Amino acid sequence: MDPNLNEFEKLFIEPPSAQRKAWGVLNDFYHYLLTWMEKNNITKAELARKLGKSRASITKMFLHNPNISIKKIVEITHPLGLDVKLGIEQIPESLGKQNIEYVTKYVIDTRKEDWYTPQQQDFSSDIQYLTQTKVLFNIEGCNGRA
Amino acid sequence: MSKISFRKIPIPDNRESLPYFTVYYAYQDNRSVVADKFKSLSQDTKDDLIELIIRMARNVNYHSPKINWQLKGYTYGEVRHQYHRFFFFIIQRCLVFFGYASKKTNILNNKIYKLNQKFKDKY
Repeated sequence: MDPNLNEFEKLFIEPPSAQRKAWGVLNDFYHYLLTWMEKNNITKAELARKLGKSRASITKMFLHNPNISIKKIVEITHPLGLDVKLGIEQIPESLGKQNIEYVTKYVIDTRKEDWYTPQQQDFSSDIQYLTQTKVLFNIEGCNGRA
Repeated sequence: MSKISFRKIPIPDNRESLPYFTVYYAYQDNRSVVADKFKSLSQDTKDDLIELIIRMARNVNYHSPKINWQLKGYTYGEVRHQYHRFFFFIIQRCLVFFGYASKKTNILNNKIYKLNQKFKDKY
């Protein structure tokens, strides 16, 4: 670590805590959802209609940033024709600590658009107790009825 | 006359992308409102804002309900966690944090935004 960094600057290069990683996952979820909405010209009013919620509750969801649960994420993505998948991948040891560490990440994809290539590997049956493990959330287009 | 300087916020490298923006924060007369306020926040708030700022640096199109890249009628933006707001402007590929405000309502008073615009123009 650069000794010239002050206390504030060091905060950004410290290894992230589990709580910080969780915020990263939440932020990425909103990023992918908003990006998907923009690309598909879905307004917040349309999102509210698709989710069967009031416009006010959607605005509240975006403004107040609740500590959203996985159940809630699925409730939001399912009516939009999107699937959420959970996967785990190993973090190269050189990048992290030696203890078990989970990093989460959302990936969103739709079958119509090719702006992100989803992970092809199904990690769900391949969970191993590795020293470095990365958890991936895949959100991709599904055939399920909205 | 007050002395203005800028210090760089280190953005860690990522396997998937290099930072698009170089991130700075402003110092005036050897004090930084941004750094001072940031340090006084709760750990939870710091964690969220750090993750947001790192993502802003890496992705110019980062969408978040907590980031307003450019406030309507002004030439700067804000990133917020609950009622904490940090103000930034973009110049070329630099993201410069220069101000802070706290208010427990969604919209701040116009006076604060105008005052921030003055600060921003000064920088």
